[in-house]
Amino acid sequence: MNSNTATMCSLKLAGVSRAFGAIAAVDSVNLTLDAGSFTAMVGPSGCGKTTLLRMMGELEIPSAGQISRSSGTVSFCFQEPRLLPWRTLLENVALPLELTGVERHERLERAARALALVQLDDAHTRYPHQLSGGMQMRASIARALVSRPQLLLLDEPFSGLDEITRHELDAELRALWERERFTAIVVTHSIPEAAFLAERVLVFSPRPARVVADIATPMIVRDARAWTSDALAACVREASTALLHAIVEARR
Amino acid sequence: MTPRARVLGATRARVLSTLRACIGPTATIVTAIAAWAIFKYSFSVKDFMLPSPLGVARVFLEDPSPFLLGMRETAISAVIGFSIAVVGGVLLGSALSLSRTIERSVYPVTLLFQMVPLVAIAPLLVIWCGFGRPAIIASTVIVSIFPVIANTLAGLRARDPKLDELFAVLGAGRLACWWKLALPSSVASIVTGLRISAGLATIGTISGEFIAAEGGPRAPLGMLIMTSLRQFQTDRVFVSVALAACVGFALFGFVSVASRVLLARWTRGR
Repeated sequence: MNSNTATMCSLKLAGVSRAFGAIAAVDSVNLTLDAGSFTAMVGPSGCGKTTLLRMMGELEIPSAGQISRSSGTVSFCFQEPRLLPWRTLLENVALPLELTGVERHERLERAARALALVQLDDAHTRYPHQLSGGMQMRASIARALVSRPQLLLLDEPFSGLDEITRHELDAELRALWERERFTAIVVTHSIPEAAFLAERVLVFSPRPARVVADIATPMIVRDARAWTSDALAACVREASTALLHAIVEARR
Repeated sequence: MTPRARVLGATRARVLSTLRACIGPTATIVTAIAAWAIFKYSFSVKDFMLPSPLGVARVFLEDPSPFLLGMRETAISAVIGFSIAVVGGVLLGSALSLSRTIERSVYPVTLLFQMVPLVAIAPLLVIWCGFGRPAIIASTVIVSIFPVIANTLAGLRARDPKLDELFAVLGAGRLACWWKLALPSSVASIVTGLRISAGLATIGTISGEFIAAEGGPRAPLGMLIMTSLRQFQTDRVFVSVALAACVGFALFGFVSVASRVLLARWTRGR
């Protein structure tokens, strides 16, 4: 565990609601997220979990309630890569630093390091359209990590990718979190993905979103890269089953 | 084949295809000049009505310097006016895109640039700027700025709102959003506007010169056309018109080539 955990971002939501006109998307959510934790939010489509995530990232303003978070950089990873087509990968990844006024030489160096984290060392000068969807998504994660965030919010980040690439990226994200220990919150539709990635899973009701179950996953899939594929598959299966049971129990 | 040979081969192919593309237009021009000569001689049209192609060429070759000086003057005014129209048009278009209210109240007024005939306001330009270059440049700007404004605005309106959101998440200020996101995403649209207004710029310059140019040794083409007309030196009018067309063509050609190079980089993968 990192020694500076105490300074890391933690998030507290008190009675947070959000309505769009007459439609309530999020209904009075209370939550405390520890610094350095990895939380997944699952729930039926359109239940308002994305809205909740966007409020955490200050992309939406709550209609009621309070969100407080300790200071530190926040990064948001969208469902699509959202890379600028006229910039090379390196320049794309350096964008957050550029916008906060980091000097050119330093920001390119840090961008190069972020690209190395997501295995894109050899693609600095390529343009987004020259890359596969998986590589673009990797670059988008590198862009989210380049400012060394204390809080990383991910909105169904790999849902547009094929299964194999998705597994690869899940493993990478997990390994990055093990190493960097930022606070991570991911919205996902996939129970195996939630079980694989997170140490805590929040299950949401259909709209308006309320937390119906708050489940601690058995942290068995640590350092997934070192595992054999059989062991890993068994682990994820076991965790998913446990999670599914818990979800069904909680909604009964 | 070595890489060098391949590059040379590609260059040769490009030159050949450019030459081939020139054959058609050249043939058209030659045919038109031939028809002109045949018409002139078979109907014995008087020289002041229609000079012969050879007569026009002779007038130019006997003393090309006033024409070339005039061409230079016209080209300078056209280039300065066009540059102002480009910068001003992009800035104005961007300002209009700031809010729907501004757009709705100001855009119809910018349409005036397009609607009011230049000859109607050119005397005003002379009153305000005096005779000489400033009034001519103003006339160039008035004629050529509108397509830049309209296309900048269209490009800015059509950009991807998801990228706006990305910039918002990254905490970008308004200026950074404009310079690093809005303008680059609108390049294709702006370039289209530039091509249209490059064609218009020379028209604005020549029209401005009709009314606002000063005579003398450095008289621009528009002025040469006017003085030659008054003296029924139709052959000199023809030379000046041909050179004015060359200025317009050069400006348009430059913008086309520059925009193709720019777009090749910008629109990758779209």
